[in-house]
Amino acid sequence: MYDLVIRNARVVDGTGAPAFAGEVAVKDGRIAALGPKVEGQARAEMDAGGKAVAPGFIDPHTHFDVQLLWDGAAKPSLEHGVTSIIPGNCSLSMAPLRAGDRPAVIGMFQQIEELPPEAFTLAFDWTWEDWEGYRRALEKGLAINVAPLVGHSVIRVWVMGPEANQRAARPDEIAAMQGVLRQCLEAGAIGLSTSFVDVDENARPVPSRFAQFAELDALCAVLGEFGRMLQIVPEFYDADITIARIDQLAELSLKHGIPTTYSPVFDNRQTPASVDRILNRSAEQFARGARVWPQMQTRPIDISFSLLRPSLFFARLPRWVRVLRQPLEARIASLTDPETVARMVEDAGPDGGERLMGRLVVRGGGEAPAHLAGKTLKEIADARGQSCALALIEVSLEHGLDVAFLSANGGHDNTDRIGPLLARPDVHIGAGDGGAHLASFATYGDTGYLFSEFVRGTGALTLEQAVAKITGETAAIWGLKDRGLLKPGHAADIVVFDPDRIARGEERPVFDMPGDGMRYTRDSVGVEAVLVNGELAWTPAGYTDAKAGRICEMAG
Amino acid sequence: MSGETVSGEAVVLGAEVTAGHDGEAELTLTVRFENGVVAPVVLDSEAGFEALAACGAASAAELAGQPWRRVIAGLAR
Repeated sequence: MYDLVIRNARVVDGTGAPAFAGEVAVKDGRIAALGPKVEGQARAEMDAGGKAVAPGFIDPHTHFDVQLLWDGAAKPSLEHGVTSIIPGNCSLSMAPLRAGDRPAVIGMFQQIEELPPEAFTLAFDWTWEDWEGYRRALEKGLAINVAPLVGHSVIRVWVMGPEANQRAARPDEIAAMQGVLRQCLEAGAIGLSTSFVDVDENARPVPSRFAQFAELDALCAVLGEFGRMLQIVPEFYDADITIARIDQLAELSLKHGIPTTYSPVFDNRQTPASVDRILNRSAEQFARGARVWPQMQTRPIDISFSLLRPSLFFARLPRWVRVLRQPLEARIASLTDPETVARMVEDAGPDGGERLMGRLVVRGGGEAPAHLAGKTLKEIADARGQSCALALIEVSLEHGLDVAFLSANGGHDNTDRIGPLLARPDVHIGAGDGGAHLASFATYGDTGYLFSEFVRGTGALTLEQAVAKITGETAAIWGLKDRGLLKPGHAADIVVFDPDRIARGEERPVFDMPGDGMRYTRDSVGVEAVLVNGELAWTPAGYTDAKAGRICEMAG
Repeated sequence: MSGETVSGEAVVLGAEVTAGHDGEAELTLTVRFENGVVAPVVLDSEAGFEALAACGAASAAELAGQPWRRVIAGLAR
């Protein structure tokens, strides 16, 4: 007898094969059978109502390392249909980490994830130092599957202490790092992450950036013993340096027999040739036999700013640049000086800044009153009988300058261009950064956006292709065992969704971080049920009590 | 305002506000280098303001025509 049969389903199995009307049976947390008709009885049945039934989505680039310690569902990822996540990216993980080194690593996490300090002091008991201990702490309450990377920066800190972000490693230290990495991989880490870009809370380079190539090469030799992934953040702001990193990754991939991936890759109108050059270089390296996976995000990039800090959003406007570069006290004085403000408004153009600023959206979460959140500056300016530029200044002043404005779709926003890039067989959809940039923008719902914009919208991908991209192909790229496909014997990670509705909800602020910390989030749209290892984890009625998440096992 | 360029040296042809990966506004400069290659250079928020200051530019538009060495000098500060 099955535990569950999902009937009346449009089965999309994660291979890219055509969907079919059928049924999916689950037993002991695994897919037991599927086909047009599954014979046999079940303890429970679910009527999918003709909706899509697919493998749970896999998010290959997240920073949920800390959140998972008090929120085993990595909310809101699970409700978007994501059943497996890969944290530990960008050289940072929560282990191995000695108690004395915690402050340094906390600083790095706060910089990248924008977590409040209370997240590290109130929300969990810090019971571990090595990877095995972290794994045990993590496993206690997982509702989502986790395939964690170990961070190069923390391995450096473990071996080199305070000198980790000061110098290159000696040969004996490199050998020690190899040993630490090996222990982590044996204890469940699925690969190594490193970064050539990130900085700590003092704007100093993170430790991994002090590594010379010999160190990375030695660590990749250990990855080669296990056939595991190297993830890097290259100097993505420069196409030529990124291409040099692709070549470097290709050499490491070929020499050690490992897959590699780099992120982010995104498109901007101002650098139109860059993304093609980067992807084509990866393709050339694939043709040589190397595995160098570019990770491209689905969502566009928004610019977010307040007048608390100078933003280059105003770089077109000389008088705004002059005022906003002043120290805070002087800046406020200038913004309250009628003559200065009049010149700033004049600077914004004859339309009072409507063209440049009118579509800015006031975000909630700062000191801005809730009734302004979500409104455009044009709407607010019209209601106040002011120009957009004046409204921006006065609304900011009325709330201590702590009013965040959003300029939507500032980059990576040309769906006609990006769809075919996402559809390329040598492009890995990811780079979503779930759990990071908490106070800047929502890093959730990229999977819904994939379907709403690139399947239903531009049609760049079929439903089956899109599902395969974020399930079966992702599991294969990373080597996740028995994940990503609706196939007998595979884990019963299942999402039921309406292909005609699935999308990401509007961005909104919530105060659900420890210490009532704020983050931006998005609700899911069109997702109807999520099962993790055969247990119902989420429905539109909310999260269940199921804690069926696991640390993912690796193939081979 | 235009900088005093030496014949043949690298020069900024233009500058545009762009969206950075982390949600910050950035400046993308178009630079013509000494060998004739024209390529984009992306500056993050801090570097962008440093470049504006180093070039005495009041806005992004005034970076056009500035010698690249002046931007570099600003970034090295």
